[in-house]
This record gives sequence, C-alpha cells and structure tokens, in this order.
Amino acid sequence: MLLWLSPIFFLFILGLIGSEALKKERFVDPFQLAIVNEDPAFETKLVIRQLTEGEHLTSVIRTIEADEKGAKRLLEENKIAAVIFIPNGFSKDVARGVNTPVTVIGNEKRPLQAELTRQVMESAADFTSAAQSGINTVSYFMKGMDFSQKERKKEFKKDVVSFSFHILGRGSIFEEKKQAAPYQVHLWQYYAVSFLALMMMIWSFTALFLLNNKINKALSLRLLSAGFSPYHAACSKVIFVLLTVLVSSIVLASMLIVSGIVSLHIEAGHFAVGLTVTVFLFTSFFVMADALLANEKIYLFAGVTFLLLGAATGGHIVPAVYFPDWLERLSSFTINSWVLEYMLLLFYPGQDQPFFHLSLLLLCAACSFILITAAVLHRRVHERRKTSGHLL
Amino acid sequence: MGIYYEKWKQLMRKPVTWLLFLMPIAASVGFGMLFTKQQTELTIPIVIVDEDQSSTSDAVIQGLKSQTGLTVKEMPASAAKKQLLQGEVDSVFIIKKHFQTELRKGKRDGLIELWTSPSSVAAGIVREIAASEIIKQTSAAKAANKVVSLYKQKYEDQGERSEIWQQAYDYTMDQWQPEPLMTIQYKIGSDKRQDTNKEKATLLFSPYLGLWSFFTMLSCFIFSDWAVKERWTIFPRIRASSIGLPAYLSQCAAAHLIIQLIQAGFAFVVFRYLNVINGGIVVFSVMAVFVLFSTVIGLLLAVFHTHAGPFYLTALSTALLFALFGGSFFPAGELFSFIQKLSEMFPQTALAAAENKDRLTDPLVWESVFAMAAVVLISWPLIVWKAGREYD
Repeated sequence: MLLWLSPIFFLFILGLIGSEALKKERFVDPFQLAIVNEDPAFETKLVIRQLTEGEHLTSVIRTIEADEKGAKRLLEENKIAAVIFIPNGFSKDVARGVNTPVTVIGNEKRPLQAELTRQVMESAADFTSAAQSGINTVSYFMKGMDFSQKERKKEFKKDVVSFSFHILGRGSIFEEKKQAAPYQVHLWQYYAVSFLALMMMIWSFTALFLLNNKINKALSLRLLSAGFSPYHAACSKVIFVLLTVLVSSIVLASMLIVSGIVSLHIEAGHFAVGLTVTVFLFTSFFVMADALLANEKIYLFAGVTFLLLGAATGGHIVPAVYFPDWLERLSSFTINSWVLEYMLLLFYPGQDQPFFHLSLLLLCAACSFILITAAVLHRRVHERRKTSGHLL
Repeated sequence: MGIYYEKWKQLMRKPVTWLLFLMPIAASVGFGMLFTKQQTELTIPIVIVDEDQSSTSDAVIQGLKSQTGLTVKEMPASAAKKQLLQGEVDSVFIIKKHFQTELRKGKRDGLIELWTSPSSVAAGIVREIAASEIIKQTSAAKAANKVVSLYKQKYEDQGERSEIWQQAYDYTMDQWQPEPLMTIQYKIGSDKRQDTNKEKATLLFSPYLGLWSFFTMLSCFIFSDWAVKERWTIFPRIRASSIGLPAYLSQCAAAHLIIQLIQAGFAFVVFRYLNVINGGIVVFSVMAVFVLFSTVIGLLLAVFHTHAGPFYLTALSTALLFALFGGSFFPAGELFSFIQKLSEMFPQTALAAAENKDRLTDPLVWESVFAMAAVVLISWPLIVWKAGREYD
C-alpha cells in the first residue's frame, strides 16, 4: 500500500515544486548580477539602464555595482550569477565605430542563470548598438554639415537621451492581443493533463511489477499444472492492472477537476471511456514488455528507460511543437504523444478533432500489443512443451 | 577471498550482469545526446503575417528567419489564427499595413500586432528578438530623420531631401557590418577556460554525468537484490560457518563494486572520447566514490527488505529521489532557491563541481566526498547488524 502511494508522494513533491513555480509565474528565482563599470560615461549608463529598467527583467535580475576585486570575490562566494565587465575606453571606441566587447563572466555553479544573463546581455548589446549607430550617424553628418563643436556636443547629449528612451520604450511597437478558443488549454492545464497521463503510465508499470512479484515461481507452476495457461495469467494480469490503475486515475483526475486545475467539457460517459482506453493502452504495452523481456530486472530497466524516453520525447516536459523537425517526427511514434493528444482532447475538445476516431485508433494499438503478447506466450509455451514434456 | 572470486565468477556467467555493465553507459550516452540535441535545437514556431509587403518589413522578416532558435512561417491572418488556437505555433506577429511609411515618419507605436494564446510560452522571448530587428530599423530611420531636420535647419531648405535621408539611413545600417558596435564576450568562471566552442556555449547544462549518476545508482541498487534473496536461505548458514557474515557481505559487495568501478572507468573513457565532459582524474575519483556510496546504500536498502518486489520499487523511488534533488536531470537547486541548500547535500553536487573545477580542494567537492564516505562508514555496521538478525 505504501509503495502504491509512493508515486503520489512524488506527485506531491513535484506538485509543490510546480505550484511554487506557477505562483511566481517564472521558472527562476531572482538572482544578482555585479556590474564593474570602468568607464563611467553616457553610453555605459545606457547599457546599465537596459538591465535595471526593463520591467520584465527587474523581476528576475537585481544588479549591484562593484569594483573588479569585489565582483570576483562575490563570484567566488557564489553570491552572484555573473559579472558584467565594461572596460575602460568602451564609450570612446563605440563612438568611433570600433567594436569593443563587453565581457560577461558567468558563474559556473549556476549555469542556468549565467546563460540567462548572457542572453539578456546579448539583447542589451543589440539595442545599444542600434542606439549608438544612430547617434554616430547624426554626429557624422553634423560634422559634414559644418556644425560647430559646441552645437555638436549639445546635440550629442540630446541624442543620447532620446535614443536611449527610444530603445527603452521598445515595448510600444507591439500591440498585444490575447486570442482564445472556447476550450483553450492554458499552459498549467497542459502540464496538469500531461502529468495525469504520466502518472497513469507509471502506475501501469509499477502495478504490473508488483503483481509479478506477488506470483512467485512456485505458485505459477502450481497454477500451470492446474490447467491455468499463460494466456489466462496474462489476461488476469491485464484485468487486475487495468482495474487498479483505472480507480487510481479516476481518483486523481477527479481531484484535479474538483480543485479546479482542469475542467471537464465533455460528458462523464465519454470521459470514463477515454480514461479506460488510455489505461488499457498502457497496461497492454507493459504486459507486452513483460512477456517479451521475461526477466524482472530487465523489465525494470527497460520500463525506466521507456518512461524517461516517453517523458522526454512525448511532449510531457516540453510541448512537441517546440521540437526540431526530426524530433517531432520521432515524437509522433511514441505512445506518450498519442495519449497526451487524446487526454487533452478529453479535457478540452477541439472543434474538428474526432474523439471516437482517436479512441478507436488507440484501442487498435492496444489490441496489437495484446496480440504480440499472445504470440510471444504461444511460442514460449510451445518451446517449454518441447523441452520438458511434463508440466504442460 | 574465495567467496569474492566465486561471486565474481557467478556474476560474470549471468547475461544480466552485462546489462548492469552496459546499461548506465548506453543510457547516459543515448539520453545525453537526446537531451543535448533537444536543448540546442529547440525551436520556437512563430508565424509572421506581412500585410505591408515592403522592403523594410521584408528586412525584419529576413532578420527573424536568420535567428537559429526560431522557425518562421508566413501565412495569411486567418490561417495563422487557426494555427495559434490549435497550439501549433507559439505566437503570431502581424506587420500592419503602412509599416514602412509610419516607421520612416518616426512613428512606431502599435505597428506590429502580437497575438498570443493562453498556451504561449515563449512570446516574451520572441518579442525581444523581434524588437531588436525592428529597433535596428527604427533607430536608422530616427537618425535619418534627425539628419534631414538638422539639414533643413542649417540650410533653411524645405525640400524633401530623400537622398540625404537615404544616405544617413545607409550610413547607420552600415555600422552593423562587419559586426555590431557592441558585442558580448562570454566566459565561464575563472579566466582560464574561455568559451570558444559555440555549441557548448549555448548549452545550459551538460546532462551526461547527471544521467550516468542516476543509471549507475539504479543499477547498484537493483543488483543489491542478492542481499534480499539470500537473506533467509544463505545468510543463516554463513553465520554458522567459520567465515562469518561480515566477511561474506563485504566480499560479495566487493565483487559488485569492482564491476561497477570498471563500468565507471569505461563510462569515463567513453565520455572523454566523445568529449562531452570536462575534467580529468578528479572526476573519475569522485565517480568511484559515488559508486561505492551507491553500492553501500543499495545494500542498506536491501537488508531492510524481506521481499524482492517492494525492494525494487523502493530502490527505484530512492534513485529517483536522489536524481530529482541532486539535479541529475536538471539543475534543481538553481531553479528553486528553497531546495538549493538541500540539493547541495546530495552526492551529485560533487560530480558536477568536480567536472567544473577539476580539483579536489574545492570545498563543494571534498565536503561532498567526505559526506559520502561518512555515510558509507555509518551504514556498514548497520548493514552487518541488520543482516545478522535472525527475525525481523
């Protein structure tokens, strides 16, 4: 019983982590960056403002100014995610149109945050380049038009301000419109459904495993001699696992529905059919794996590999539309991707996707798994009859 | 030592042993490549609807198409909306009519309509990328406008002056060649290891050692099942013999340990050969300590179980727990600061730190190695005591 519930324990931990992440609406805790500015000028302030004033950045990044030694020490002590080092002479070079790279030193103990910093800095560099090239153009043409040094300086100061506001206000280019269909899947709903599907898979796998260990060799031989064929055994396994997992899944699904995380838009009858079909598919798949592998350790390793592979390529972690082409094709061959599509359909029916069509398809897949199992068992019974005349 | 050799011979005869040997290496290399490819090749599918059909809008689209992380499709608005609602694309960008003329007038508010759906994940990222392409254009236009207005002011000329406008615009755009004015030089950690490899630079997190640690731990755990199976059959007899249970236990464990150590060595060589991990002998030493740790913990779990089935599931759950909190699959500590402290107590931290630092003197490495050794020393008497008890 304890072991049966242990996946729920994982679910609870993962749910805790997940809800924490969703509550904050971001996946990374805010982190600190140190800026070492050896060239205090207008241009460098522009770069720094990019980091400190963008609204979507300030929720994730806090910047502190430091000298070189202090920043290195903070990095060593693992207090900051990265150091941004603006070299002396940076602004002069940039004004002359010479590229001077700004060095970003990422903290190796925080690869994710360091990488984020790099991306943020790269986009900041692009925006700064855009502003600076504009400023340079104006001052170049003013020189050509014989403006006095004083006038040029005055215009330059104005330009720095106006161009920096220009890039800071880039958000106004976009007019954002939220589009939604009647049964639109929100991101967290996608993950809730994906999690339910994954749990059904894990449960089918563990239920079969526990069942196999309950029937030891002596018992199975006795059953066999009593005319209880391997087919009967496989059938009873399927029925037992199907029922146990189905009950657990219904409990979990209703918990998700009652707590309002996902909502049900179809009839309860369809819903029950859908869950049954899904569990049946997983169960028959693992019964097939069990029959093919015939060794508990190999079954265990193969099961874990399948679970990981399914989770990674079936779209449970990253939705399949974000995959590169080859992976998307690979993904369309995994049962996880079929189940996920099917389950999403159960909770959020699309207009033109046929529910019964897909149900039938999954049932066919499950039946072919069962057929393969039967074939394997048939061969094994045959062989055993040949080698040892008694017992069977 | 006789028992050790016997156990060793017995193990080598079983084909399952070869699974134990190959599984962690094959799985970590296979999944490692998959995860790496997934990480580097993940693309964000977006749609652009070009209602303006001008040279500027085309330049923006070409700029977006050249970005590696995006898959850009062009289609009419109605088709785009359908794709968005079906969750086949992340977001839709609509370049409105008169985009070019408005831009050249220096206006930019709401020139692009951005459609997102509740399941859009990456709209924020794409928005920044699109903004950088557009700001490039708007800055050039802004500078050109300024130059023209300064020209008019200087020479009191009221003509169109489109040739000056074009000159200034081209001058600004030319500053992006051969490289932008400001770029980023990215380094990781201490100065010696500068990032030159482009592919490695875009990788958030190298998965190989983490995956290896999970599969090795699982393998060590599962193959400790001899202690469960021999508990009531062989242990009582050994206790009565002259060798004694502690010697028997240690020699059997040593036989398993040696195989896993060879496996670790093999894995290390393979990883180095594929050039997917950094670090030298220090990494291997930490891997060896990790194998010792896993073997002993596996034995500890085994002596507390009386049946193989529940033992396997406990082993699987424990290995998963270690993997999740230790950061085998993803850098857990970095994502959520509340489990960072917890994460540092798990042995996988030592592996990651050893790979990064490549020296034993780093506190993260030796503290963790020391902790693993301490756990081993405490567990051993516990195992001997528990295995020696006649009744549960």
